[in-house]
Parts: sequence; C-alpha cells; structure tokens
Amino acid sequence: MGESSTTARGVIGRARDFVTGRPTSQKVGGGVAAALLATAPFGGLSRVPEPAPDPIRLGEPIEIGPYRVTIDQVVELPDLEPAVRPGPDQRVIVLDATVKNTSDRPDYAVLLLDQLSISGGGTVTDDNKDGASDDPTAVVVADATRVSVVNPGVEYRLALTFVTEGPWDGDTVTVRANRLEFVAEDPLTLDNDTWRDRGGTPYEGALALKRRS
Amino acid sequence: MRRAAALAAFVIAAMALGRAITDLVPTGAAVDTPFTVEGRVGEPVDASFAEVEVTKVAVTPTIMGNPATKAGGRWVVVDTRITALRQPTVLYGATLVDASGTHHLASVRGADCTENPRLPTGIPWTGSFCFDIERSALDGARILFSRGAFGDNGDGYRRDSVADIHLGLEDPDALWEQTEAVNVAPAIVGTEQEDAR
Repeated sequence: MGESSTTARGVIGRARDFVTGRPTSQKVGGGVAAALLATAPFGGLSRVPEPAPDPIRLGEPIEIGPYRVTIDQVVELPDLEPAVRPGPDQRVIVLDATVKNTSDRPDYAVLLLDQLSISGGGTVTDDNKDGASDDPTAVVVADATRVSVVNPGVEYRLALTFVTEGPWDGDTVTVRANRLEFVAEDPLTLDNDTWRDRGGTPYEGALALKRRS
Repeated sequence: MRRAAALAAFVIAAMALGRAITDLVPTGAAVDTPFTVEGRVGEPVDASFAEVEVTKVAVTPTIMGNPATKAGGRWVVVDTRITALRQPTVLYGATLVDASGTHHLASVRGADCTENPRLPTGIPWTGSFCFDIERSALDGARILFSRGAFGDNGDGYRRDSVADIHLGLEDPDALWEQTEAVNVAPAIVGTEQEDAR
C-alpha cells in the first residue's frame, strides 16, 4: 500500500515537472484539450443535430429564392401531352403550383427547378425527357408552354412535372425544396447578386397524391 | 528614430490617400458606363454595332399561335428592325426597363418571339421581342438593345454601345385592359422578305 502510494506520487511529480517545463502556449493548448475531453461524456464532442425541415403543406406558400411557391395539389398522370410525353410504362407526377417572382430582378425558372425533388414512392427518371437531369420541368397550365424566364411580379400557375419509372407506390409524395440565400457580394468568387443554397433549413412535406388516368 | 517615425507616417498617409481615392472617386463609373444612344419608336437609332429601330409596340394578354400563349401578366410585343453595321453580331441584350429601373427579360414562349437574333452585316433583320410583365412595368417602359446580356449589375453593357429606345406607352392602364390577341410574324432577314411580312 505504502509502496504504490509512493509510486503514484512519483508519477504525479514527474508529470508536474514535465508540465512546468513546457512553454505557456503549450500549457494553454493542453488545458483546452483537456477541457474538451472532459465535456465528452456529456455530449460535448457529439455531432450537432441538423434542424428539422420546415413543413410544406398544400395551399401554403413557401419562399424559394426569389420565388413564392404554393403547391395546391399533387397528381399522377399517364402523360401531360403535348408538354410531357413519358414512355408507356412511365408516369408523370405533377406539382400543381402557383409561382411568383417576388423580387425586383428577372430570374430563370431553372433556379427553382434545381431546388425541387420528390421521393417516397418511386424513381424519377434521369433524363425527364428533356435533358440530363432529374429536375422537374415547368409547364404553364394555361397553354402548355415551358417557362424559362420569370420577370419581377409575374405569377404563373405551373405544372412542375417529374417523370417516374412507373406508377407511384403509396398515397403520398414527399416533396423537398432547398432554401436559397441572396448573396449581394462574394469576394471569393466575384459572382455577385446571385441566389445560393448555403445549406439552410430546407422545406419538406409528405403531400397527398391524387391519381388520374 | 525620428526618421523612422516620419517614414511610417508617410506610408500611413499614402495608404489613407489611396483608400480615399478608391472610396470617393467614381472610378467604377468611368470603367463601366456604356455609351448610350437614345431614341423613340419609329426612329432609327445608330448604336456603334447596329442601327436599331422599334417599328411598333403592342400590349396584349395573348399571342396568337398553336397553342395561343397566355401572359402571366401582359405581353409587350416589340417589333424591331436591326441592321448590323460592321460585322455579323449576335444580340444578347434586349431588355425592357421600367420607370423604377427594374429590368425585364424577353421570353420565347410565344410563337415566333425572338430572344438572341443573329444579325448579318448590312442586311436588315426584322423580328419581335416579347416581354411578359406585370402592370407597373408599363410605366416609362423603354428597351435597351446591347450586344451583351444585362447580367449582374448591367455588366453586359460595360463600355459598349447601348440603344435606349423609349416606347412612349401613353395611358398604361388602358393598354393593360386591352384583350385583343396579337399575331407575331416570324423573324426574317432582308428587305424583300420584310415587305412580305
């Protein structure tokens, strides 16, 4: 007992001598590291949980960059001719939405389309019949033309269409949308006055699916 | 010691002077400002790269076609004749600017509406630009024609010639209420085709 106590005092003494001989900066660093380690049992080193997405609900507007988007219904169709012509086994999921550019600058619809995705019941085709992406297309409901430019203050009722590999499985579609932030000046990229996805809390909601043949 | 202090004071003063010049002298304007030539409808405007004339303006909710194209707000259809003066030119900038300075881009949703015409040298190009706009955009509307697109902060106009044509839209409220559909003719190159148009 007395021998082990003497050994412990020897170890502590050598440690004290070692610490005493270190420069002040190393002492401070060591102290910080020790403090961090001490918080570990209480979750100090755990990953910070991501905040839950803000909800998307039918008929309620959400803000995606310069666009105010209100999804009124979600519908599955065999096609949406003449605007969208899927293959015989494919289906079209339509987000029936009003979209308004509430900013004071014109912008392109692709900025909105890049932020939208659906999941939870099927696979969206890669090419969507109009390009190399699984982003939706934006079709004006009034005349079946595809919208490219949205000027300030102009509102459209759009069919935001996703082509899927087959019939959707289930009665809901999970719609997800990234939130965009306006960057007036970016000294790093010099790409000023643009909307960027900077990882803010996205929108997400499971919306009821209507089926029409 | 005194010499070192004087040198330090001189360096600080030089840096302060440089900052003052950067902040107070409008060097950006001198570098960016385009050379603007103003005009009105029916009046050829001689920009350095092309002669530009707006021949007719119409406001409508519908552009005829198959299908007819409905505006989200109203269409402003701007019939235009442009002749490249020195070399073949692609016109990337045809932008409607309203009284508040807000910019509005042309759309190609309407049948035969044009966005970026290719202009051969010396031969008139005739076509229509179609803008889908909200009501307030009719106030003081004018069109800027430029080789570069508007881009961020107007960087497409930088140190280039811009034709600034005022549309002279009187009584915007009455124009907004018009319901007659407008037919847009296909763009063509050459005066003989223009007569047929």
